Amino acid sequence: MEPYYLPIRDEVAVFTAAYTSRLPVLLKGPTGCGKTRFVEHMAYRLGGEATNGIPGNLITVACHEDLTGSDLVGRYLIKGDETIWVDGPLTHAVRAGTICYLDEIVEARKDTIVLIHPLTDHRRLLPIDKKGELLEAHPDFLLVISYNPGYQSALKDLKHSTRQRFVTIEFDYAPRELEAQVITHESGVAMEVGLSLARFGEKVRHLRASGLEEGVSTRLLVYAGQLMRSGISPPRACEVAVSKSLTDDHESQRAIAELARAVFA
Amino acid sequence: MSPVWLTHLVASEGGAAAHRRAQALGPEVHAEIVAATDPLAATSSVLAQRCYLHAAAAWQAFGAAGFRRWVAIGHEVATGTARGVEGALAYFAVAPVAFGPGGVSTAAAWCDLARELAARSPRLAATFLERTSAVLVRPDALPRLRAWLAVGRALHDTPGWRGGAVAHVFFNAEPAVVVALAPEHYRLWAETRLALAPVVKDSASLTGLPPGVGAWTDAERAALLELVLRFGARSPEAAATCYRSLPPAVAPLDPTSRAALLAALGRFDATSGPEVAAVAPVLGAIVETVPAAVRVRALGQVCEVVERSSAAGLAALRSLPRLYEEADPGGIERWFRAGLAIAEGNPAAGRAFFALESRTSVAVLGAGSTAATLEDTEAVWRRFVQMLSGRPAGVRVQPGVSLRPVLEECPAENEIALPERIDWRPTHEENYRLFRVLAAVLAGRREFGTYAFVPPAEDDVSGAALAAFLQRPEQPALLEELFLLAEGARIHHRLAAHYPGLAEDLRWGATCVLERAAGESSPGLTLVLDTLLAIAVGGTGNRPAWLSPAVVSAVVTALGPLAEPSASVEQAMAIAQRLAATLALVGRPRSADLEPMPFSLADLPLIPDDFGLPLTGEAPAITSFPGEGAGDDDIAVDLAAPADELPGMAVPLGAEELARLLEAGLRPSQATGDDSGRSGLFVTQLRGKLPSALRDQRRDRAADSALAGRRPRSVGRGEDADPCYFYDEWDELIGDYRSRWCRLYERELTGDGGEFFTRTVADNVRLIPEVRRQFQRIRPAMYRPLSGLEDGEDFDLNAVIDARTDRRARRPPSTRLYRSRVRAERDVATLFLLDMSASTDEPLGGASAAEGARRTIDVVREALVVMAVALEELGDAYAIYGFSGEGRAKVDFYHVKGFTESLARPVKARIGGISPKGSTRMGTALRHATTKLRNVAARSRHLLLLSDGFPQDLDYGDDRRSHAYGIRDTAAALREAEAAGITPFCVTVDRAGHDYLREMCDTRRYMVIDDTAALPRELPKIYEREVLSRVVPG
Repeated sequence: MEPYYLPIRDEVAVFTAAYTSRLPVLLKGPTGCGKTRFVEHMAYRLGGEATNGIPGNLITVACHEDLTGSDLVGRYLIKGDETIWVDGPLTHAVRAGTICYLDEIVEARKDTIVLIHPLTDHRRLLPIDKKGELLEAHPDFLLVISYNPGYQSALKDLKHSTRQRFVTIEFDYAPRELEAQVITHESGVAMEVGLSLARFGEKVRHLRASGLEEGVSTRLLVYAGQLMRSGISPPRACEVAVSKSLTDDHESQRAIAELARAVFA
Repeated sequence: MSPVWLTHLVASEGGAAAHRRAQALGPEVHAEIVAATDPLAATSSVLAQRCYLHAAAAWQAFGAAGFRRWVAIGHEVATGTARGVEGALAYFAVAPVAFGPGGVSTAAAWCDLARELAARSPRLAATFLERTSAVLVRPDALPRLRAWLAVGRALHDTPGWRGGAVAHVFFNAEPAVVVALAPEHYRLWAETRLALAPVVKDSASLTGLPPGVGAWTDAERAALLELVLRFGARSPEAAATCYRSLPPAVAPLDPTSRAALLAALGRFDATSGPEVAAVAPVLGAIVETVPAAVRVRALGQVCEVVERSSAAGLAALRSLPRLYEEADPGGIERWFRAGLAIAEGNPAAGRAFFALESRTSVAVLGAGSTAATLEDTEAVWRRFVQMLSGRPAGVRVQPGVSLRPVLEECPAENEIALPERIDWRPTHEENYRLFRVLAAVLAGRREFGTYAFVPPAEDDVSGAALAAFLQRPEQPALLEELFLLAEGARIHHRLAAHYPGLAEDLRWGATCVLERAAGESSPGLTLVLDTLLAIAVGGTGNRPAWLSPAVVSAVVTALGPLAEPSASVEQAMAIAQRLAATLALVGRPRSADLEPMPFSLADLPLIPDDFGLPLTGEAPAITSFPGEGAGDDDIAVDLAAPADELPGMAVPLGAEELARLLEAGLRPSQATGDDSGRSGLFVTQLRGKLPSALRDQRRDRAADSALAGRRPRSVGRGEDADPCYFYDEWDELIGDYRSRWCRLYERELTGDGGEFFTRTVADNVRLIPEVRRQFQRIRPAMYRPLSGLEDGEDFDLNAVIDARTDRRARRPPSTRLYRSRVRAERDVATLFLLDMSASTDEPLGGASAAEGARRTIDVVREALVVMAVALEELGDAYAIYGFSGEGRAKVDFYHVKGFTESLARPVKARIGGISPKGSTRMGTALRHATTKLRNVAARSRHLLLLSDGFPQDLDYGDDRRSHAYGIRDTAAALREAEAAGITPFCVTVDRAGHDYLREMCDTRRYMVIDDTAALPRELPKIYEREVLSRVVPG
């Protein structure tokens, strides 16, 4: 089934065009605004149910602080008396010719970044040091990475040598009406509630940069909607799904609770 | 033939009348009267005359025998002793009816008493007769007089030379004293009188009781006298003040509270005289602030405290107004209990508690209050408004609660004004809810375009256009107020439509206003317009009686169109203008701060054109008020204008306005006016009102600075416009923080133009490169090893061994066998805090203070220059501040360099401007520095204190010679810094520093530099050791 995605601007057309020319794509935007869902959606649209045995035509790697190059490329494992080579997710995608999505790339260790450089220019090669192999990418392979400028610190910024290898599609939270549609679709609440939730989200995001590091994600609003559909009162749903998840600051939590009270009758 | 004395007497007017009265009794009786009186003339013809004046009355009152006895008693008095005539004159001066029911036998008993006294002193006896005659008419006269005499006699018999004089003073008392006091208190009065005598110059004022005391009960009078007597033993002046000012001060109180107050006062010990005397004139006003129903209970609580400690009790008494303003009786009960428990263990702490000076005290009181305060909720409303409106909001305090909050003059500054506290409603939740309503209105204004107002026929859309438009001189007086009304209605409807959850709150807020309006008989302008708004937006409740239905329906109709979703701010303005033109108001309120105004819409004339209402009268012009045409600030001058030149021009003033004017040094003149029917405050009504008005003002100011202490952005302004902050201080005696005890001013330092900096750099031409090199050497050390890498500079031997073992055990080995060094991101901020006390003026090494000798401060400045240059090299964030001061109300904090400033010319100049100032209140300065550092986002924050001696200030502890208070407070401040994640380090050039620094902080946290001159060389080393070596790698 095609993952649900509601286009906000021309991102579908841009992505399709980039895919056609096999240009690597950088998705930039705050947490929970739909980057991952967008990639899933596009992968399905472009590749169908499965490509070379890979469901959804997509391999997703959530990057974290301890993610190293060999976690991506692959490693030797000892099995009985043998050492056998196991492909990492990136190698897998490169061979199978699917989209590889490295989520939150800046979180990964520096050595992983270097790996993707030869893959993202005209060479389209993945060097596998440990095997002495230079793997040429499948013609359908595409690298997509995501990056959240919201909580970048000086330490974790994407280097220009990396950023300048990608086509950048910038995401932000959807406008109120569209976001309401998304919430309604995903959580199954009435459109009216969806609109209120979207308005609530929009207002909470005003706190960004003073009090909150990140605005409330569409994902959290969907959660709140799902809780409401299950019979939780709107203020309580907003409390558990939004304010408590969003911040530990007591004052901000109280203010968000006030907002929830104001928005929901 | 008449005796000579009679002939002379008849010649006078009174005598002739007496003569006629005597003759009217018949010739025989007259002859007998003359015959009985005549022997008196042998002693004194005046005496005979005096007797004759009342003779006819005596004959009639006492009968023939009684008359003869009456004369005989007088004769006996006259001849009994040497100065008997004086006494007899007093005796005959008493009209026979004045002897009361006892008649002549009372007279006899009275004179017997006098005779008894005359045996000791004829003069006293005469005085006795002269002063006590007025008492005789009372049925209990004789027992009273016997007691009176007994006291007087005892005084006379006091051994020593004073006895006679004292007794004389005693007998000189006014008859009212004999009548008013219970006989058992005569002695007490005599002693009180004596105690006061040395300090009261006007001895005549002491012959009677203070005015008003006559109506008191015996016990109350005794309480007053005992109090005065007790105070008199230690401080006669204080006793005299209490004696004079207490009775008028407590006059307004009802008898029960008066009795309770006097009972409480009765428990103060002798030493507290001066303090009690200081508050005596306002005691009545203080007690009046307590709600009548709980006054006796409150005073009972004070009583309990006084029994433990007089000083604490007095503090509690003075705190009463604030207690009842901020908390409910239950909370106050708890507050007293908590205070008593504290006072039990530590009297000094108890005193601070009851004076509301300690942090615990303020906290306990706050817990007992149902009011919602801005202090507690500010952060919530700031965020709430920001979320609703999409723009950041700072909060400032606005006095008074109104449904129509004031407009922002400069919306671009992103400030919103909220009341300091709301205590209208009985529960905290409701008060909090009112805050929500106000915050929503303020956010609504921003969200729905109040400030996007475009003046007609202009394209100035600068945001401030609205304020400018409203303040144009040609605008009608009430336009701004009415605009707030119209715009309030519009915003209300917008909010209710957009935020279903708020609709209920807004309606409820309107209902609250109506409830409040119903309880008010003479509303001010703000309340009148708030009420109109409340009605217009559908608050439930009855229209207050003072608001005419015509006005209500007119206003509601006018505001109707604003409920439309398409209504704009311009439309609201147009409606406000129409209202302003229609509602001609008597008064000249320009803004809400003139409230309450003599103003009521109830009898306002309306012009019917817009509303189709009947014309009820000609609208009076809004002109011809004193001060019209001049700015608001000029009112003072106009008010002082002589009233007779402007008949009928007197305007009743609002209490706040008056307080403001009085504070500005104005002496208001009283004018006459015909405004008496209106509400408002007349100068003559000020007596009780002024203190509360002033209190509000004081509270507002305090609130400003309270927030200032938390929000450096919109801080309160001190006397000379420097931002000021309040800090608590640790008092080791009470074992608690004294709340908001010190006031700190942030001062700008005047610099020298940079010469000192340049000269010092030149002087230290050898040292500076050395320090730089030293810091550069540190750099390579700023790498941290990182192991567990897949690739790197070197093998991580532990990992290799593990991998080898794994391999042998046929387990998949880890591939992370390398280690490397990673450049540590240094994220450090250091604040240098300099002691700029006067002692730093001392020349170095005990050298004579010759011109040009290097002083401690010079060395410190030099060290700073070296440090600053070196730190620029290293790229670490640092700031430099200095401090000094005089007393707790004035701690100066000098700005030399902030964290964000670079070492540019102004900073260099300010370093040169560092100079010795006053004393050393270290704790407060450290707290402010901590606040500064708290605002810096660095992983590792350091506070380097450079001082030349121990903490010392005027009132840094009770005993100036003991430094313990200051040392403990500084120690507390250092602990607070540590608790805030800041690493403090103290450097001192005082060789005796070990003694007190050991008490202030851990031995690793301070350093004493024996050779002051070495500081410029030592400081970088300290920085290297204390800051750089402790930097947490990023």
